[in-house]
Parts: sequence; C-alpha cells; structure tokens
Amino acid sequence: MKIHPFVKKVSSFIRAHDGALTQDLVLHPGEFGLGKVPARLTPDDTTTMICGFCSTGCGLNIHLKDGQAINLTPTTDYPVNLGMACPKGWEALTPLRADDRATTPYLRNANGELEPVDWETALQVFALRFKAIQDQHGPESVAFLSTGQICTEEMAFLGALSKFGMGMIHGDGNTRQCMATAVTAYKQSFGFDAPPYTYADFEESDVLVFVGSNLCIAHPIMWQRVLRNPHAPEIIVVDPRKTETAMAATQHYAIKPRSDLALLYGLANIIIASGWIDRDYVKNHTSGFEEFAEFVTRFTSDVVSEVTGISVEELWRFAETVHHGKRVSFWWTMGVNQGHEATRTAQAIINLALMTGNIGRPGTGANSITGQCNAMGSRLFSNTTNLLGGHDFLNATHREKVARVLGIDVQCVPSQNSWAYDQIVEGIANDKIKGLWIIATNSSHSWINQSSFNELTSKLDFLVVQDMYHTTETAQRAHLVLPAAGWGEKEGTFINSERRYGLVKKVARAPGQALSDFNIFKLIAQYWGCSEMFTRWSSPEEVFQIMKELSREQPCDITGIADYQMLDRCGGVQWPLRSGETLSCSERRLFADGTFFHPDGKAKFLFSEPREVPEPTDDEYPFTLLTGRGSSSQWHTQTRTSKSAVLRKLYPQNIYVEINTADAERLQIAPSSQVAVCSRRAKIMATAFVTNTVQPGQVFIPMHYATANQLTVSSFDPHSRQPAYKACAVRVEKA
Amino acid sequence: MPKLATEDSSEARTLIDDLLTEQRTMTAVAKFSRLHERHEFPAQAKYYRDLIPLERAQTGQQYAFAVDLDACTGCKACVTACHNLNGLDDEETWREVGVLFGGTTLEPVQQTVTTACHHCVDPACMNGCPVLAYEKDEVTGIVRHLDDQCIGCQYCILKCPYDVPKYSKKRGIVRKCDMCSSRLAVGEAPACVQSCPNEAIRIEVVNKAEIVAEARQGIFLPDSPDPAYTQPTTRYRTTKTFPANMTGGDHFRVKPEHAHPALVVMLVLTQLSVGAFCAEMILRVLYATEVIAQFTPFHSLVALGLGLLAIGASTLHLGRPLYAWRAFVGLRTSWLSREIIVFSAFAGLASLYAGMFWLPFLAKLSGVTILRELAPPLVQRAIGIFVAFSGVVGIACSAMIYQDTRRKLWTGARTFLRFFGSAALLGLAATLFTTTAQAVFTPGISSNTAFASITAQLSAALIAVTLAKIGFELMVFTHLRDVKFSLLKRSALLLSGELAEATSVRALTGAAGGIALPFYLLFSRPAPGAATVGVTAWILVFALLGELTERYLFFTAVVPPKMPGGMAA
Repeated sequence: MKIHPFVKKVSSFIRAHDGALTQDLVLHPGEFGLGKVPARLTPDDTTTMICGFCSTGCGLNIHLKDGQAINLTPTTDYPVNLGMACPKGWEALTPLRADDRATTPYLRNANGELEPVDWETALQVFALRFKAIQDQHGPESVAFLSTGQICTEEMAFLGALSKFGMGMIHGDGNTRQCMATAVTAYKQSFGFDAPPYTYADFEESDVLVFVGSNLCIAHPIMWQRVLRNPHAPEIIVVDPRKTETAMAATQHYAIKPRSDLALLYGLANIIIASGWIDRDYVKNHTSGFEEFAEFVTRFTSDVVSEVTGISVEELWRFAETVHHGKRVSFWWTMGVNQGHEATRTAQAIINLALMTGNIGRPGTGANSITGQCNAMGSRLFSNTTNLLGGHDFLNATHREKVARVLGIDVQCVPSQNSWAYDQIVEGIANDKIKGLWIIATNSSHSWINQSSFNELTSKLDFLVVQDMYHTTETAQRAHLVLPAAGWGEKEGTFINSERRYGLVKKVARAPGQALSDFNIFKLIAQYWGCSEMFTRWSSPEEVFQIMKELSREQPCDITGIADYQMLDRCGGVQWPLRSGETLSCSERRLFADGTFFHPDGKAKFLFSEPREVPEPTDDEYPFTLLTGRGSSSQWHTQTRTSKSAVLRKLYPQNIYVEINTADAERLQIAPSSQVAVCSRRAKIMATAFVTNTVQPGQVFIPMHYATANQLTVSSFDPHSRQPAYKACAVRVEKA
Repeated sequence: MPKLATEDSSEARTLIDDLLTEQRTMTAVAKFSRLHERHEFPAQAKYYRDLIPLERAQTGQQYAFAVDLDACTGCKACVTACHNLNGLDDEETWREVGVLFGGTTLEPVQQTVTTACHHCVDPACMNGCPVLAYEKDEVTGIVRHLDDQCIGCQYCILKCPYDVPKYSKKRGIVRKCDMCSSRLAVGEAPACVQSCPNEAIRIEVVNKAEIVAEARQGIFLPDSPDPAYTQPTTRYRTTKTFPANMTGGDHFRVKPEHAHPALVVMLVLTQLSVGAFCAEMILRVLYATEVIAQFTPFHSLVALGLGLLAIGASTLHLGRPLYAWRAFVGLRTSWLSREIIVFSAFAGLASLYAGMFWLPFLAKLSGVTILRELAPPLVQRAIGIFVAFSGVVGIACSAMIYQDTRRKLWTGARTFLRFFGSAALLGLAATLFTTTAQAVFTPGISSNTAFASITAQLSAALIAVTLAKIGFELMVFTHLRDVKFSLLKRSALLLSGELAEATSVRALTGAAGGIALPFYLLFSRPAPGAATVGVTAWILVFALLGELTERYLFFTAVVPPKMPGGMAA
C-alpha cells in the first residue's frame, strides 16, 4: 500500500520516529576494525597505547580525529588484555579534560595563596630556593618523592638529574607503598628483582593460589585471563575478607589478619613432612633448604590452626591441593606487600614455589602482581633504591658503568644508598630534609599516619609539587606547583607486571602551559645549570636508547629492543631481550633453565620468626582495621578517577566502614548509619556497611577516601621499608 | 648566593617556548603505523561471535540479555563500555552494577549483578507513555524509546520498576538502552556484551511464554521487584544457591526521591478547583437558588482560575511542552494520557460554566442583549454538573497514574484517599473563603442566616475532612514497627528522618488551616466582614500549604522498587 507523502508527514509529526534527538545516538561503522561507534565520534585514524592506571598494562586503541584522541576501545589483539579493559581504562581520557588541571605554574605568595606565575619565574625560584637550602644544609637536605605513574624515560631523567646533576642523595617513590616488598623479596631470593611470570600463566595453571589479592576488583583484566584457563583449575584465595575474588574461588581461607606468614610456614611444614617436595629441583637450583626445613618444623598444624583461625583439616586440604597440582602458580598483591613482615611473607610464598618445583614452567611461579602502571619501570630506572638499570649504588663497577654510559664523571654518582620514603619523612622531622620535590604522587592523602605527615610538611623550607592537578591534597600544601602533562599527552614507555615494555603516545594536547614531566626535567636541568650533562637526553626515545645501554648484561637487558616502533609493532616486549635475540613469542617467562641471578645460580630459601603485629588489638581498640581497594573504578587517592562522572557513579561517594553483623548488633549500629572509627592517631566518621563478608573483630575501610590514612599506624617491614597499611587497632562507636 | 642561569636567560626563554610548542604537536599518527586498515571488519567479533544469537527470533520469541552471575565479578567494564560506545552524556549510564550480600559469618556470600533494561514482555514504560514514545520491536522484542517523540513527562521513570529510563535535563527527554539494536542488526554485539572480560553477558532468544510463566512464579533475582508486573526477559543464571537473606548493597540506604514541584502544584490545584466546583454543586442542592446565585460568579471564577493555573503549571513539568498536544495518542493504555484529556475537557467546560455567569454583565457592558439569552439557568446547571463530573473523573485519572506505578506508598487507597481528600478539603476551604468574601461585596447579606449556616457547615465539614485525612496520612508511621525493612518502613523512616521538617510543616499548616481556624469560625461565629474574610483567607492559605507539603512528601517519601544497587555510602 502506498502512503501519500502528506499523510506520512502528518503521521510522523504525530509520532516521530526520527529527528535531531534520535540522530544524537546514531552509530556509524567506525572502520579500522572497530565496528560501530557513535556517529559524531567517528575516527579518521587509530593508534594503540598502554593504559596509565594499573600495572596490568592493557593496550588501548585510541580513536583519533585530526591526530587527537576522541574516544577509545581496548585493543583486540594486545597480548595483555585481549580486547578488554576495566572501567578506568575505558574512562582513561576523561580525567585529562578535568577543570582543575594545572595549566600554569603556581607560586605561594606573601598572603600564603597559590598564585599563577610563568615558567621563567617558577624555574628561577625552583633553582634559587633549592640551591639556597643545599648551600645552607648540605646537598642531601633536598630530596624527592617520585612515582610509579610517569614514563620510564622520565623516571630515569628525574633520577639522573636529581642525583647526578643536582647533588641529591635521597629520593624515593610512591612505589615504596606498593611493591618495595616484592622487590626486596625477589632480590634476596633470586638475586635480582625479577617477577618470573607472564600472564599466560594464569591460563596454564591447574592450581592458582592468591594471597592477599582481590584480583577481580584490583586487576579485572588479569582475572579475565584466569577465567580463560581451560583446565578447570583449583583457585585458592587467602584473604581475611570474603572478597569478590574469594567468592569466585574454589577454596577460600579467611585467615586472621597478619597470620599469613604462619600459614605459609605451616603449609611448608606439611609439604616437607609429607615428602611432597621436588627433591631434584631443590638440590640443583636452591640453597638454604635444610635450614628452612628445620625451621618450619615448629609450625605444626595445631599451632598454625590456632594462629590463623583455620582448621587443621582445611590446612591439610590446602597443602594437598598444592601437592596435587601439576602446574601451581602463586600470586600475591598488597595484602602481602603491605604487611609488617611482608618481605618474609613474600619469600615464604617463593619458598613454596621453589620446594615444589613450581617455577620456570608454564602455569607456575611465585608471582608478585604489581600496582601502578609503571612501578616496574621505577624498580629498574628511578635511580632511587637501585642505581639506574637495576644496578647498585654501593658497587663501584656499577657506578663506573653508569657513568660511562651517561658520559658523566663517576664522582657525580652517589656511592651511598638513598633513604627510603619513611626515612625521608623522618628526615623532615629531624630537620635533615628541608626541601622536598614531589612528583606525580599525593603523599598528603596516601602516606601512612597521614596527619603526622601533613604536620611535617609545614617544617619544610620549600615544597615543590609537580602534578596534573593543582587541587591534590599535596599540591595544596606546596610552595610551588609545576603543571604536568598527563598520560596520553606525552611519549614514553611503561613496564607492566609481567615485565612488558609498552608505549605511551601523545594523543591529546596538554592544557595551557602544562608540560610533560620529561620537558619539565629538561627545563630544570637548564635552570640548575647542569644541562651539559643531559645533552643526549633530548627526547624520551633518545633516553630509551640510553636505558638500553644501561641494561646491557643485566638480567633486565633490553638491548634487543630496537626502538619504539618495534615496541609498537610487537604489542610490547617483555624484558629481557638481549641484543641479537629474536622475539619468538609474545609471552615469555624467566628461569626456564633453573638458573637464578645469585652468583651460584641458585635461589635462596629465606625466612624469619614471625613477629607480633605492631599494634595488637586491646580492650580500648578492639578491632583490626583492614584497608584496601574499594572498587574497580577507584584508583589510589582518586586524583584522576574522581574526575570522571561515570566512574564516580560506580563507587560510594562517601567513606564507609565494613563491619560484621554480630559486631554491629552488639554495638547497636544500624546499617547505613554514621559511626566514628577511632585509632590512637585520629577519629574519623564513616557510614557503617554491615556485612558478613568481614569477620567479627575486623573492619574494612577503602584507602581511596581522604581520611582513611589518618587512622593507619606508622609501621614498616624492616627489609623493604614498605608501610604496613593492612592492620592497625581501632574502635568503632555509634555517632 | 646560588648561581642562577641568568647569563643564558635568552636561550632559556627559547627553550620554554620550544618545549611549549613541542608539547602541542601531536605525533602518534605520524610516528607509528596503524594496526588496522580502514575498512576492516570489527576485530572484536572473534570474542563475541558466540555471545549473540545466530538466528532470528520466531513468533512468540524475542531477544533478551542473559547474565552468568558466576562470571560477573563486578568489574563494571560493561557500564563504561556502554557509555563510551554509545556516546552518552558525561554522567549518563544505561547499565548498572549492583551487589547482593547475605549468608552468615561462617558462609558469607556476595554477588555482583550487572543490569540494564530488561526489555520486558509487558513493558510498563511503554504502557504508561502518553505519547507512544516507546515501541516493542515485533521481531526482536527490543523495547526502543523514540527520542523525538518523547515530551519529557518522565512518567516512564515512575512506571519502570527497574529504574531504567533516565531523564536528560539538557535535552528534555528520557533515554534508555536499546540493546544496541543497530549493532545487533549487522551482527555486532551490544557494547556490554563486547566489553565483558568474563563473557558474563550474552544475548539469547527466549520464549516469551516461558518468561511469563517464570515471572508469575517470581523467578528472577533476590531483593528485586516482583517480575510478574512487567515480565522482565533478562535471565540471571548461577550454579550457586543464594541464601534467603540476600539484600542489595543499597538496601538500607533511604534517600528522598525527586519532588516534582510542578506536579505538586498541578495536582493540588486541580484538586482544589474540582473540589470547589463540587462544593458549589452540593450547596446548590442544599440551599435556595437565590442564595447560591449571590456567590457563584465569584466562586466559580476563583475555582476556574486556580484550575487553569494548575494546568499551566503541569506544562512546566514537561521537558518538551511544545509537543504536549501529542498526549492524546496514548489514550488506549496510558492513565496520563487520559488525565490530560479529561482535564482538558474539564478546563473547557469549567471556562464555559464560569463564563456564563458573566454574560449578563457583558451584555450590560456591550449593550448586546442577546448575550443574556445564551445562558439559560438549566443549561448552565447541566454544564455545572458536567464540570464536577469531569473533574472527579480527572482526579480519578490522576490517582490512577500513581496507582499504576505499583509503588507501595502510592497504591491501595493511599493515592485515592489523598487526592479526593485534598479535593474535599481544599474545595471546602476555598468555598468558605469565596462565600465569606462575597459577603463583603454584597450589602445586606449579613442578615441572611443562610450564609451563617453555610459558613458553619463548611467549617464543620472542613474539620472532619482534615482530621480524617491527616489521620490517614499518619497511618504510614505504623510501618516503623515493621520487622522487615519494607518499602513502607523506608518511607516512614524518610518522613520521620530526613524529611521530618516537611512532615512537621505539613502537620502544623494542616492543623492550623483545617482544624484550629475553622474551630474558631464555628464557635465564635464572627459577623461577616473583612475580619472573617481574613480568617477564611488564612484557612485557605494554610490548608493549601498543608496539602502542597503533603504532596511534596508524597513524591519525596516514596521508595521506588529497583534492582539491587551498589554499596551505598
């Protein structure tokens, strides 16, 4: 039937099927292998780069129009994420457009307010003030706190500039807060900081053991790899809370907080006593086993059951599952790293892998999952704990090598180790540190026992904060704020958890006068008067070539990676790739030949007697406070994730405390009511979330909320000096 | 003095300039080769090929989301992917991820739940829409929203028990998930399906009869709205058995809903207007025509004026009022459509009726005597009855609009008693005012005992209605004692908690206007005059304030049913 055009027009006026509003949502083929995309966001090109949030290191396919990013989708064939991303990745471009980006340097004026100034002024003041402090208090009185969030080339530049150019001795990074423990554990056990795995191991294990890791929320894309495992694996989760990951596990052991070390020693004892060890492997590739075997005999099942709160039967079931596994992989994250005896706990995991021969084969390993996008870059190239390229400040040969590669006087390379983060903070308290330069981290929110840190910042003669936003808690305390370009506004590389170098590209214009950290360092070199030292450091890509030279002959040798184009072409490259080696496989693991990095080629069994928690609960503070990740849409202190309206919808807006039903009833705390949480340091308000997923006597608060770290207690693992965020004593009261 | 780099400051300035320029140069395209050529097929297809149906839905079937709860771990990638791949506004999301908690300390359970539009077999949004801005695709069963048809009345938001349609203030319309129908049409997966790292969301073909049967048995998801109402097609699958105490992460959070001020004004004033016309009709029966004739011209004008104001106010509620005329097309299913039509008729009839009183005046003014003949009293009285009748039907339609949402605070007698209660209460108050006001302008009326008796009767009736109405409203507080955290308990908690101030205002103004002042009139029987008018004016003002606050609370204290939400704090 033919309808008259007029009738059609009238009918569509009465009932409109199309029009401007409908067209708003129309999708067009995106081309470039994309499928349909919003018509008004149709790209004219695409390029792949690495996400700038966590250490998973997902490939993101950036949709470009006129060379600038307009949208993104996860890269289908990137070997890490296989076409998927978490909400932070999907929203990675949004925080760049935030209103509170620092678009100009700011200097605190006579009235105590931050006032916009030009770069010339900012740089002059930077050099003048820091030099004055150094003249008065010595070169080591100015220190820096860096980050796992900037590119490796930038970290190297910062480390070299500050220590070789500006004469600083002390510098550390926020990476101290997330993976210092893994670094120390690996270094001591394997002879080098070398996470041995590749993500394919998630898919190839028949038993996966997760200790202190809420992978589903903290690393959703790694969990994706677990679900791709075709072997119907046993998934064991050790976590005091019934987390999302614990729910998805086949076995969950809700041990008492900070009883992990006893648990792991107890498991070792059962495995050794039952003769379930791989004797050949232990004999040929490890040292110190006999002492360890002797040591763990005191961790009888009864003792361990008492300490951990899990039954003897459960303990045996755990050990048997590990024993029956053909390919057992052990994974740990912050639940281990942020403990008061974290290094030994990580090594207790390593010991289990070593004694059962679960290392160097597909689907095995003692595997630390890192936090930040470039924590691994910081481990090798930040020039803080290690001398550039995973070298040792105390080793003269290393110093000479680095000086030679950089073409600088070896005298410029400090022959002493840097203070760790907590020691730098203590240095402020003792008037040893008078000037501090903080780069891309928000210490005023994240440092343990936050209020004490914030009081100390007022003791500083000069505090410089270099950040994307002038509104961070730390920037608000600075004397000088330097506006930094962010991820996506500059070039460089990140190294992910599985040692994969990936590329960051410049796909967005930095706002106003903001400059890449790399360019800021270049300017500072100039104004400090040491730019001759950095003539070769012209671009991130040039620095990458320097990094290659620095890595030569090291376990992290990357002399086989030609350039950025190769990284781009290959979907990232895992270290090591030595000069002359060809890249045969996109997923590679370490220690296939059983040779470790100690001079004898063997891995060490390391252990210590468990220690009492720094702040046990008592009558006055009867709860153990656990802290951790709140949701997949929150990242650390939220300077970026809070800038996306969509991400904001995906997490509770206000701080909350999870408390067990029985405890809530006893204290007459109604669900969703306001409560006070008090520790010896502070009292904060929070909404009570009453749930059985936390055990009685424990409460949980996510770390993302500004007041959470007012409660935490300053205590540190003695080996890694990583703060022990995971346990302190608190009281909960009805508000 | 520390040495400054002043000697090469000219170069330094150049370096700053150079670097600022370099910072603004985009390099990604020039430096790196692209991964895919322009015309390549969607690369992602290899992951989702098995997650969308190969076959078309047959008769009795439709497409539906299927969620594997065992695979959903709460990463929320689906929400952001939907947002980005559909080009939604900054804060706009069509998918949500909630969480259920339950079990015991020994065996705690949590379960994350991804949810979007359920493309119901019997969509409440579609049935309620006054302009037919929803259609359910005959083949796929996808419930699509026609953005250009929408007038922004937001009734679908009240109707949908799953909180799916979302209002865009910027555009003045509602938008929602269409299961990426244009993607499915060319064999691509919806954004959420494409983006789930765990393959927890898929599209499948379902038999509608099975969905209906399951919905009637209440099979859906714990702590979720009764599926029997709209028969949602999403299927949640799990190998686990959930404990009985599973509740959503936002279960214990109560927060006020939108107040809809334009609707508050519209409802209360239409009810006042209808009540005033009805009061007039009743007085006509009770009193002699000449008594009534003395105040009806003024009274009906006041009633009409407020009625028209109400209808005017209602357009302020609409996102796109210029298209409000489309409202007639939804008559077959939408109570909102019916309300709009009936009140339009009411407004026409009331204008006619009230106008007729002024014809003699107009005839006198213009000298056109024929005007006087146009309003025979009998015809006018008949029209008056139609005015009252259409008004009553209009209020019934108003009440049905809310009744039909199945929200607990709005169902049963709760809406009907409120709306007709307001009509009676405000009709009496308004009539009390107009009759006493008339006395001021009509000399000699003070000797007319009929007026004194009208005032007394109206006052007594007003007291009775107010007591009954406020008493009825207070009954909701009995639910504070509910053991379960029921929807009505939550409403009562809101009314006595976050909304306590408004609750007090409602009670005080209601008591002042509907009880205290009428009592004064009833017992002190002041002589007609300015002072009495003053009292009745205050009665009307307080009663009106009381009812406006009551209606504000009606909207803000309702607790809509919804899918389990995220952790609330």
